[in-house]
Amino acid sequence: MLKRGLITSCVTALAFQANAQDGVAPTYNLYGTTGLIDMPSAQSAADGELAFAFSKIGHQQRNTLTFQITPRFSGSFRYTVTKDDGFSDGDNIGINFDRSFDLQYRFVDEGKYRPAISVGFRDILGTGQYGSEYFVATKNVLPTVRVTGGIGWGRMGTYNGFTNPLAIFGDSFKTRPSGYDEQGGEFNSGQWFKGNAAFFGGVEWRANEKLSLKAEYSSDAYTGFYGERSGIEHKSPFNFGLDYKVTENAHLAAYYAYGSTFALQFNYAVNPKNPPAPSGYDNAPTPVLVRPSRATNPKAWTTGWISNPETPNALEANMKRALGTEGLELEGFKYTKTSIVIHYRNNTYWTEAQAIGRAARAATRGLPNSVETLTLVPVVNGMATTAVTLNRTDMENLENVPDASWKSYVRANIQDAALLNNDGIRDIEDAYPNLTWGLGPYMDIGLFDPSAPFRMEIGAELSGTYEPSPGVLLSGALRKRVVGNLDDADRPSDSTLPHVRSDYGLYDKYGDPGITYLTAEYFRRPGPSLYTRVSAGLLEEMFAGVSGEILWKPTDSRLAMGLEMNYTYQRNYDQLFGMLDYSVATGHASAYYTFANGFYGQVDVGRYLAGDVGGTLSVAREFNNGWKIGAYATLTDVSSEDFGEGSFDKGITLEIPLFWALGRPNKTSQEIVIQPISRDGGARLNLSNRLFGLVSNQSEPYLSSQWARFWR
Amino acid sequence: MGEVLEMRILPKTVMALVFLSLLQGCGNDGQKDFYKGLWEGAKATLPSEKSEAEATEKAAIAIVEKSNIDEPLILATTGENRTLLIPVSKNGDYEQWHAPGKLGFTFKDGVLTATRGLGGDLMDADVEESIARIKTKSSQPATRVHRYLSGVNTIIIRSFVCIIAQEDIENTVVFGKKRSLSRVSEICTNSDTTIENLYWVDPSDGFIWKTEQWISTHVGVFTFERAQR
Repeated sequence: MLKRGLITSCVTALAFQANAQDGVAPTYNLYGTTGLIDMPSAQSAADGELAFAFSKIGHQQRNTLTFQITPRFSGSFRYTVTKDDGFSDGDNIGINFDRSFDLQYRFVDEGKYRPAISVGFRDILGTGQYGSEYFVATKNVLPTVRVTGGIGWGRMGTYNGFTNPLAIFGDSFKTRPSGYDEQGGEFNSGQWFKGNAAFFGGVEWRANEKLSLKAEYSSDAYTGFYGERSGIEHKSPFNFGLDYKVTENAHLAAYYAYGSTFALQFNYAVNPKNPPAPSGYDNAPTPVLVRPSRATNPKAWTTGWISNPETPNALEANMKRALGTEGLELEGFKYTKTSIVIHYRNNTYWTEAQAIGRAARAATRGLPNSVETLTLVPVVNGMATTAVTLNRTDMENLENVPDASWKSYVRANIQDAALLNNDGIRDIEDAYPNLTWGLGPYMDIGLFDPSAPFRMEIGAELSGTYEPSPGVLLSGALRKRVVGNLDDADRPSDSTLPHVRSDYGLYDKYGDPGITYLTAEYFRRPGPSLYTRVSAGLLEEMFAGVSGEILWKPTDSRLAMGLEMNYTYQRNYDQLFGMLDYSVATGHASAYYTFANGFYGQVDVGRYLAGDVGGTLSVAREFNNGWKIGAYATLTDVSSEDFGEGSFDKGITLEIPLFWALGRPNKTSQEIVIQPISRDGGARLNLSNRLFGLVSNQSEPYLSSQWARFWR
Repeated sequence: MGEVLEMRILPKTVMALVFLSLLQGCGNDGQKDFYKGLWEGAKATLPSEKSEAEATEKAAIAIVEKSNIDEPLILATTGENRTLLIPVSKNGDYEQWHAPGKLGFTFKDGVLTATRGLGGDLMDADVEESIARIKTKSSQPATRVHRYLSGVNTIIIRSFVCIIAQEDIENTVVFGKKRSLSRVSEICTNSDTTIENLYWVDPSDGFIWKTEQWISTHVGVFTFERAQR
């Protein structure tokens, strides 16, 4: 069976910085969740914290990613490798690979006398080896002492268990049905809170700022098929250990567990809310040039310039220079005696409000005094997106005053640029054709293949985009491997579906050097709220063809809708110009919604690459600095048996903007998709220029939520 | 900056000063050129440019300190780092000053109201009451409100109540010159922080020649010394 996850990332060192927390911040346990040693606690990590935990106990290596999704709710994804002779299944003799998901919800906050109380589910979606449910309470009884106690079911009800107290609701709670599911990947809800229960608990003492000592009574007897193969001889329910804070972000822990086993753990936490430099090290912006008083110097306000034949050239030169100093590129402009509309391209700032603020300030340095109304229009791939109109007087008056951010926002008029009359706009001749290119390193990572759970490849990528005219993009990228073992993956796909993704090993093996993509694209705005794209060529690593998309996204709406149609041919494994004998028409109707609480949801319904029909639900928490952490699941008419291990396609998505880590202006983001298992059902085309991702940042609610950077 | 480098700089100082005097009286753009000239002049004195920016900046500061220069410059110091600021804009009572690498500082009557490019910038500040107390030598409490960018691009407000105290006149070196100035302290507190700002003020008219001001938790304290009024 093929198992693989993909992380594609550039070689980038990210300077992560964890949340500065007070002394009673929770620590992480061997499962990579907040807790004691092997048992959980009721505490939540700081909101938004993302923790990577690596632990070794007995024959098990547990690798966990835990995200504090909301202040109360956390989710974990874990990949466990167990090396034990007791495993003799198929190809994996002596070793077992298992993925598990946990959820925990804190429904009672800690009070003066009241503990925090949480309910949790461990391994709710996998093959169920850790399957447990629990209620747990934690109280800081002294400033340095924290006590935890709880009741657990499943694995956490196996030591010194007793008849389930929930049996008062029915006898069905007395016994726990078998939860083993051959394909895994589905909820084991029939087991929840059933069978014997047991108590667990422990204490954590913070000896000093860096060192915590822990002792716990565990209710896991390490029995059953998986428990017995964990390499842990259960001699005692008592575990002891210490946790050492190496840096603000990193902890090392060592434990003596179950009277027989030493365990080690390392975890590293990062909080997207805490960038290394909150305001960034971006250069100071060009100051507003304040005009002389009209009353005392009326001559400076004459409008005779409008009829001067040199004016267009002079204005163009002024605007180009002014925007250029801010890292922005002038694409076109249109003016009257009292107003100007400036179309610009922002290749510098991730936050469009910051680019607008800088463009407006810079413009004051190159315009006649009579020009009062400034309209800034960010242009994306030739499409004029949003028009932000500001009064020059407001720019002068608000530049330095307290609360300038809010005061400028309420005075700004934000509307769809398609509503403007663009007749007579002066295009900047040297804005097109435009060529951008780059030669840099790339890194590809392949995870979760049983024969090598971690593979990677490093190489060089040459990429470029040529824009002969507004909205027309010719783009391509060529990769050459330098070092790596991704091409060692030699497990043939056993998928009964068309091998639209599961032959990835063949692409890795034969696709060097390979053309990652080579496309011709045309972008256009047919009317207000509408954006369109047509793409043709080698669309992605595995598919070529034609793709068309239309997006409806009103400037002031949290809702957007889109329709995408594609006809694609599967590319040859050599990743050059040849095609395999498989073609398919795919397409989706999509709805995108940005919630007011910082979450984003997307639903896509349509036909996938293997010809299967279904839908994808994606949910992500969006931080206002560009971080996105989310998950998706796709259900199609492919049965779980035909899909294979994992039952259906699902994954975790991360998007990390480079400027967050660097503190310098940068529009690049690292997008990471972790798929526990990469199969053929529910697979979509990997298009890089889907419209919502291109234009949403220029409209509401993103524009206003980032307006605080207007004066940055 | 050791003796050797200073000796190398000295012959060039005269040229730099001539250059400066030629540019005196220009507008904002002229001031930029002046500064650029100062920069270029200082740069030319260096035998090699291994850490060009840093060495150039130190050389420029040395030139100014060694000379009785009477130019609108501010010497900004934080920890071991020093840089020169030049005025780039005046908007009402607010003056913006920039440093090479385009760090930005905005002052109102000598009191810092904003910074740009420092990583943990002060986005804006309401310091009206502090300015008034310094000018009137009043000991009435003053309210000070700072605004910062959070890590998720929202505005964080930190407000303080400040006690301003006039202290004795003392001889203070400001940008290489000794001056008799009145020392004013401003101690500001809120629920979790206490900060102290210091001002060295001309006793005759309250002009702030030198000041030490807290910017943010991220940045800490900067000292600003003015070369001229």
